[in-house]
Amino acid sequence: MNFENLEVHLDELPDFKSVELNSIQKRYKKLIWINEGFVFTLLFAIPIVAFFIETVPVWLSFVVLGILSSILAVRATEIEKGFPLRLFGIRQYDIIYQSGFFYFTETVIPYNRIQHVEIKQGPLSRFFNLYSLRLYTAGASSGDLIIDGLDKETAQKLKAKVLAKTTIVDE
Amino acid sequence: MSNIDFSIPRLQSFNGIFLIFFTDLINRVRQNIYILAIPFFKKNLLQDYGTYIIIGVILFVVLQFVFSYLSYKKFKFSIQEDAFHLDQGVIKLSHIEIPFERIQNINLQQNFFQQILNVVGFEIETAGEGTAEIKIKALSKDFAQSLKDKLIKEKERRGDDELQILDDESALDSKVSERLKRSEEPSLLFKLNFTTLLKVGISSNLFKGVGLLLAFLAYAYNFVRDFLTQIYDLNLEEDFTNRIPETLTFILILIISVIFIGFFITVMTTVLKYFDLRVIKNQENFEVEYGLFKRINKVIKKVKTQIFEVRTNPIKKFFKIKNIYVSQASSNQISEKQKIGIVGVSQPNLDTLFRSLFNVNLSEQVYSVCKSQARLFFRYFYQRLAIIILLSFSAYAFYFNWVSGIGIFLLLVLFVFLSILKVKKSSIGINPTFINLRDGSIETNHSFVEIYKLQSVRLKRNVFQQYNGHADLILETASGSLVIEYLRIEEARKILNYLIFKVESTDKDWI
Repeated sequence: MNFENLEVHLDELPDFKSVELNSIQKRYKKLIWINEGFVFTLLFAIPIVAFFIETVPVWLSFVVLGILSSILAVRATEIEKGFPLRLFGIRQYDIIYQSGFFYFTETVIPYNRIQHVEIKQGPLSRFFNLYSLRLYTAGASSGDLIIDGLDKETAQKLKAKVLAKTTIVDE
Repeated sequence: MSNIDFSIPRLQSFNGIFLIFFTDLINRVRQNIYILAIPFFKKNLLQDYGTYIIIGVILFVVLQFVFSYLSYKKFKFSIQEDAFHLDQGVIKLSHIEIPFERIQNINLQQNFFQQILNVVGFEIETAGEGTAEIKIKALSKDFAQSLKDKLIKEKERRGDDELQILDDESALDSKVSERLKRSEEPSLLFKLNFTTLLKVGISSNLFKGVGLLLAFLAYAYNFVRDFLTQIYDLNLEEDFTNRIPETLTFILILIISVIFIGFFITVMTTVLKYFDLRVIKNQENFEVEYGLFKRINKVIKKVKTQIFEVRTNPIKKFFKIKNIYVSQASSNQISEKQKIGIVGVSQPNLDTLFRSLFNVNLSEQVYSVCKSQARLFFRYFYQRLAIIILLSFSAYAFYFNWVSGIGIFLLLVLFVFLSILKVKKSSIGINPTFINLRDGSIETNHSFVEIYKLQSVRLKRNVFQQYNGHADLILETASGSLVIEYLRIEEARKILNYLIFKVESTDKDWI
């Protein structure tokens, strides 16, 4: 492929890969595990209880247990391997976020396309003193970006930065 | 413009009572359609309970009419100082207020009933959540038109007021001159004649019609079988299975006739849907109007246009026509149905439309093209293979014979062929203003997006892609996302850098 008609030389453009990325708070991983643990305890309870019900065949409980265990294994890999990949970066005109082990995604949102910014805190994240930042773009929610597991200072700094840039572009 | 006082709360057109009544009645009947099946199970039903049934039906219709009348009486709308007001509801009252500046589109349409009763439906679309949308079922044509004009006028005045606050004298002058320029009359841009419409129908994807027919047949078959087995104690399924070998020709004839009727249905539905399609240029916007029984009127706004799709296939190429689908900014992912379709467009008309929407010529656009890599084939292949395996299992479990074996094998060959075509067609072209995405298998779709209308860009790589150096490029627009699968990672990265650079260096807002 040649990019000759694009007016600028592509190799001279700033590469989003060259930015230094910051990791989110380490304690956020604990929070994910607590959430996950809660869900899986409930799920695992079903086949285990079923063992004691005579009308349910034993093999069925084993099959369900097997399926649940493999899902748990996949989730565990995703959390453990994927957590170090959750990184965000700030550039002059945009914000970069990457995440995911099985599906590694890198998102770039220019500040001048952000509609509004929200800082959120759920009940569990209040306990860990963690915040999540949600950047809204126009259109469907698939275009929005959520950065979880930030401490208060970082979240507010990011919000201020993003808002400052959006208004500057507006003027 | 007529001088109607819109500030008095008004009811709908008088015929609206009947319209509301009929539509409610039809809905009610549709919800309770299974009641019709009762007579089949009980013999002598009419003799035994005839009077009760008749009284019940009459009571039901009268109650329905009273309810429809009340909902007609309670449905009041008016234009006040600042907003469009609407009161409605018989049991649960609600009041809706739409400020003029939030009105995005006003659509007038007529379905079959509305045509008979000589009224039009009136819809107000807003930019926000879908809940605030207003639908008035029945207005007289003239009244609807003047209401629409009035609302548009109010909205424009509102826009000007804001400008006056913001801008100084000179800007106002330019605004006035722009207004003068804008006051040109609506002109017919293009009109679809009946022969072209037929061509559109013939070149449509006939599998839509076949699918519709099969769904209907399956439904009818189940319905009939249920009755027969209930009443005559007849096992149709067993009978059918036993006779398969002798009735191969019958099946062949069945398949051919299904395809033939499916084709006919496709042509019919297309003709009915897009009957008398007109595109009218109204100042900066385009009004699209089509339909025989249900007349639909939609507005393409220049600023709201996000994705401009051009679709062709070999038959369309032969007829020298193209279909255009326009997606406008919305708070949701745009569904296929929400896209505004302009079908049967010739190349010169396509050029005109493109030029008036984007101010540049389509034919002059040169793109740097980047293709999806051949590995994409395996993704499609594995997805299709899952279907094949599922089918094989079910064939094995039920009646496995050489016919179903050959059928499944042919299907596999077809899938492979389509997957290869899909991979070959998938590519992205870029130039300084546009992105041109190509996809399709037998048909070819080009989606055009102006770069500055992008919201965000992302790269997605699953574990295999991380290993073999490929990435999916996802472009987010205000009417949903576009995906190009399996680009080489370096190329995808370069494209992302370029697109982001273009979005950040523009001073144009996306809307």
